[in-house]
Amino acid sequence: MTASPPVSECCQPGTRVTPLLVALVGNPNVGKSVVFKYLTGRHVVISNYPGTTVEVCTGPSRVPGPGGRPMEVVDTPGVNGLIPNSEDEQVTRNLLLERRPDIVLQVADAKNLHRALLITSQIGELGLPAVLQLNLWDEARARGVRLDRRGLARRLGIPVVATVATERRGMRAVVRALSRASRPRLEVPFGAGLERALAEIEALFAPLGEGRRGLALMFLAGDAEIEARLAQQLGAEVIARARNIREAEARHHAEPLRYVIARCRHEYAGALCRQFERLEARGVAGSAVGRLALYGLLPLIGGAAGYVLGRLVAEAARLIGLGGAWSAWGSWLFAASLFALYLAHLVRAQRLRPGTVTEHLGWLMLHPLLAPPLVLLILWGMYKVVGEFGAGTCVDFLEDKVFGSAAPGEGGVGEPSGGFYLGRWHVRFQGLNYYLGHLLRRWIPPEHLIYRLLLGRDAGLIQVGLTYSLAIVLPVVTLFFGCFALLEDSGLLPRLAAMLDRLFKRAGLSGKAVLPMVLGLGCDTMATLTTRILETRRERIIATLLLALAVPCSAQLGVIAGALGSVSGAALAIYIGVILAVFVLVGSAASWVLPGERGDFIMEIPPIRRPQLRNVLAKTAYRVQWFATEAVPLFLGGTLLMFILGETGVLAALERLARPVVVGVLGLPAQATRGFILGFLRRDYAAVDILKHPESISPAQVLVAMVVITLFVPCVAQFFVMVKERGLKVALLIVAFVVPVAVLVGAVVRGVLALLPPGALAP
Amino acid sequence: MVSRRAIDELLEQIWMAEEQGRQLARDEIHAHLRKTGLDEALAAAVAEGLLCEEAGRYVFTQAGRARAREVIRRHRLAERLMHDVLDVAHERMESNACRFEHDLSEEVQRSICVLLGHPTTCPHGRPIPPGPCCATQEREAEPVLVPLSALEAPAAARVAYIATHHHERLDRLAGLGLVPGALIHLHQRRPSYIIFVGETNIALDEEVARDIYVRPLASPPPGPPHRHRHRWGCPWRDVGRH
Repeated sequence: MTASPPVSECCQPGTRVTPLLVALVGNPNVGKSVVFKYLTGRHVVISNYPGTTVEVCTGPSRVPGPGGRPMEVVDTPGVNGLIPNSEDEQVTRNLLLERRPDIVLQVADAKNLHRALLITSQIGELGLPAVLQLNLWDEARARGVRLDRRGLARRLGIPVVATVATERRGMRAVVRALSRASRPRLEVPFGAGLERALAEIEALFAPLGEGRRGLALMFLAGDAEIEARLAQQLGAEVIARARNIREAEARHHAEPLRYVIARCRHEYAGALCRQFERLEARGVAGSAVGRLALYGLLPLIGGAAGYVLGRLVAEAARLIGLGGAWSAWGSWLFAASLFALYLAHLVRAQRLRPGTVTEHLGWLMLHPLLAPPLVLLILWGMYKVVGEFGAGTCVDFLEDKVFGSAAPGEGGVGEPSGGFYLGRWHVRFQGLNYYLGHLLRRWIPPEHLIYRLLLGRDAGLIQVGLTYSLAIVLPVVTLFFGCFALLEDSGLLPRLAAMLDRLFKRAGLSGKAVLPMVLGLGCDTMATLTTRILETRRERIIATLLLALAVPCSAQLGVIAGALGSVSGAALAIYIGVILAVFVLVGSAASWVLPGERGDFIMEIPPIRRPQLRNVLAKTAYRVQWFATEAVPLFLGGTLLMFILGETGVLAALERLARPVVVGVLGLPAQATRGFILGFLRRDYAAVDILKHPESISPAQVLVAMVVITLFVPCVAQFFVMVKERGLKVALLIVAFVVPVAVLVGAVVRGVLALLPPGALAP
Repeated sequence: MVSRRAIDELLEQIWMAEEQGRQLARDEIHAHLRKTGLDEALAAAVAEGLLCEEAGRYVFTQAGRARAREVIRRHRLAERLMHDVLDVAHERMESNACRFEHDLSEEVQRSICVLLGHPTTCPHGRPIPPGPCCATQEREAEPVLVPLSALEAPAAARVAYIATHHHERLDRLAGLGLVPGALIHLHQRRPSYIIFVGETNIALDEEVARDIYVRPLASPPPGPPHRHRHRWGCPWRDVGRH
């Protein structure tokens, strides 16, 4: 295992030097991905919450390593120890065992040295050379944590470098230090009995060479995966003997050996930590700016939240017919009282626990009473940006003005009379498709197959496929990912998880599942990958099911919010209510049916941090690019499929087949079948398709169609990820469950809407 | 191979007889041991140097007496705990205490003793052999352990032990620094439990909080103490040097 050089398929021997394998390892949310980005120049998603990275990322380093050798850098999911508790932790441990990196760059949170040393000691036991990077040095300093780095480096026998990776401070020193990497000298004593057992097992594991103490400890801890792996390498009888030793030792301890090992490690790390760590006076928000922000800005934000809350209450009152009772004064009253409440809270908190503005914001976002209005304000702001500005203004501009329509007769053939005003200037521009149509008609008549294939009104590749994906979906997705990146980087998401834990308990999930669910509002495919951070298989299945069923992705949400927003606010509210109800109902039903226990909710809450514009933009660009390369081809493929189905007459046959369900059960026009077929490709496209002829569909029908489309089958990409993560059987079962549920809920919504007084959905 | 359990059972019987001033011969030892192999248990206890035979009756060696004392102490503490705190029905108390006596770690045993205020007799009125913690009981001002979920926020406490059957939960908490002896601050209980361990903030749900037994500290919750900004302190003065 140790004798073989690091695997590198890409290099032909003799022509190039084998690159050094550098693994980034560390606790969750300490900045491994930032370091990876610095070293490789590759984009990886970086956020301020534990569990952002769930897969191993590899890339060649931009900077040469020790001796000018090229380096291959690997980014790993964060771990709290090398005896894994969840799938993402297992990924990291297996990487260290299987690929045995030449250098482990341990990234640590400088203010949490204790937890970092737990990992350092385990790296040492595995016999891997390491460098300790104390990241987040600025935060540690601001909190008054002082570390004796030189002493620590002497004690550990490895280089210790302080950095602020997001600002690239100290990163060059890290690269220089890589050449001095060596095995950490940390010998955790585990007590006489356990040490004896350890020595016996180590002797049995002698053929493994270096790092067997680490393996012996994992074996003693009862790690089943390690046991299977070792059984392959050493043979079953060696393992049987080792198992006997373990069982004999376990009898001497009341607690599981795994826990005994962890406790010894903690004691040792704690003692070391006390030796090299000193707590000092911390800097608080003493400046006038800080105080002003604290007492002025935060209550103002609270007041704004109150105003929005008041407006929503007014809207709700109008919906149930109490229109006039709630005047504008009500909203201002809400705003004022919340302003006062926040101010009072801050004054009290500041006396108890002085801190910086971000620290106070962090506590406020966990407050049982004061956090919900802030969350509401954030959601409202996101709706304004994504729903109104993105799906409204941007989409209108792009769809009508930039792309336009190629159909002759629209906008006046021959003499462009349309165009639009850009500020004071009248732009005589009819839209790209308009001119394209003109150009094409010089050679091909509009009835020709190729013309219809490209610019046909129903399924033209350019007129429909490209225009819709670029004009309708892209602006919405871009804005959503931008907002979402801000949320991620600020550290609000884990706080949201803590807030919603009780609610999620009802749906059979722990609060941790908030992360994949909120990410699902961006892209369900990405979110399905993130379900790995959940602890039990049962939870992962429930989360996957709910993502496939009841979590609309941003593209879809944008289209739907735009469509329903143009119907009325009430329609949008009913839509949200229905989807939430399905979410909770199906979740609790699934948790009732599926065996097993609910996973614990134990989650680290990172500090609130100011999002960095550069990272937000880079992350958004990266995700939009990912989306474009994934979605635009699917859009075009879907359009092509529709075109073929339409030309061959299959579409008409399918419409006839689905008529009883679509028209009979859901009460929708028969053309909506097209949309549902497209739903198999992308759900947002399905929504776009149904809304193509707004004049032929009533508000209630729009609402029913949107609910069904949201709940309907996941898109192709998500389905493939589901198969990959949960297996084909589970994925197929989920789809088989989702389709009838979607139709059923649609039928119920239709029935209820029929009972409402006419005009209730009017704007 | 004779289990530790069978030997404990044997020692317990001999201790109880001794309390009544009797010494037991082989045939007087309780019948239920016979099924699980009384002779092997006796032989093993003698081989381990716990018992010796004197004129057909079994008496403790020094090691045997120490071990029996621990078994009895665990058993009776467990009875007390179930009787006083957990309100377990009397007939079930005995069988449960029997299981406890084998599987109670030193630390939990000590915690129970402190929690119960170092009891001296069991619910049946028989004496509980004092442990090392009982000698220092004067110094324990408020010997009460409570689950984290019973603490009022804000509060400071020290983790005493984590009572859970879920190994995974133990590991996860240990990974975040929640181990016996750790100093924690409970910041709030709603909507989730938020605790600070060192510089780590952790959110927990109630089920987990119920399993974490803590010793509340009398001092007010410190939080980060009020301190002043470094006048000279550029935070990255020494970044990158090593």
